Amino acid sequence: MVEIKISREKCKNPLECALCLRICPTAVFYAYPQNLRMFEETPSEEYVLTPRFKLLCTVCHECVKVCPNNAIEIKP
Amino acid sequence: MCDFCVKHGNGGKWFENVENYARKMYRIRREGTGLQMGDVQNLIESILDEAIEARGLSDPKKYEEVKARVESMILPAHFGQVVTLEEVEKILDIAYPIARITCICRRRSRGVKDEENFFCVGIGVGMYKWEKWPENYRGGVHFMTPEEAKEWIREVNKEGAVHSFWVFGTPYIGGICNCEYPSCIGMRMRLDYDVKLLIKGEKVAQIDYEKCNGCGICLRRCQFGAITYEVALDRVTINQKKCFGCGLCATACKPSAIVMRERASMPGLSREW
Repeated sequence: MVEIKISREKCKNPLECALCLRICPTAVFYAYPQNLRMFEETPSEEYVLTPRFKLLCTVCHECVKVCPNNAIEIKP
Repeated sequence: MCDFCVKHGNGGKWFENVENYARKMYRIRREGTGLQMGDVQNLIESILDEAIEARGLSDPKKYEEVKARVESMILPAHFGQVVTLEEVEKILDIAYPIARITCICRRRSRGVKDEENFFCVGIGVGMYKWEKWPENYRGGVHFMTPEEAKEWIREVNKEGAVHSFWVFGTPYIGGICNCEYPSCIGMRMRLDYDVKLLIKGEKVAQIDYEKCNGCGICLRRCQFGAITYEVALDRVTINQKKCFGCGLCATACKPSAIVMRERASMPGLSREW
């Protein structure tokens, strides 16, 4: 299966940047809120980019090309 | 008639039963009272991940097991059903209040910014309490009259979004979504992972071949891959097994060659959800 690695150190705010989220032809990525605290707003920096639907990845590498921080690595 | 209509329809379709929008079914979220129905979205997300993972195992038996468990958890809590424009308009006549809200799927899977993301409709008293979910929901709400809502939803239909309504603790109907593949998690789970987070509508599209002029406008509207153009016959064919009954093809068909038939009246399809 395709392996998609995302560096949390390099990808700090996927919802603000959203370049990979928008470019993926099969919408593989999904930004998850971490540490949800009930009744408290979740700042966008607390969303973490995950390759949630990686089964659908076609290894086109568009996300790797578009990422300004080189945070995405794909191994077919 | 669908199981939900039998159980919650009061003799009719369940989404036309005013009781399923009633205030008494809404529970106000208070601190210290533990998880409530409105928290289901977060729970469902993690439950869905089990199915997503199991799908990648290439172990069909294991997948069927996980899928059955996941569906048994989402059907009493949070799932959607496809509806036609006409059916949405009926819902907008009986549900109150109505407000435009931002779409959680487009935000998380496409990073759409709040100000451009008012694709969904929240209905019912929950809309007065939207700020009770700050960890999940943001963007605010814009209240609309039923007439404004209908006018807006007709525009959205023209643009090609699939309408669906969603329960927040079955059978309490709390929202209408205007979905599109692949950013909609409901459509994605159903079409790519075969999980019934989104079920088919009460209608099925059927073509009157006498009227079809083969223009193919409907092809571009179908998000479920149910319509094909047959070169040899110079007309389109609808695969009713794949049809979800959204009616987008019918609302765009210039010669009115597509009619939306009642699923319940079609013996081969009445149990297809």
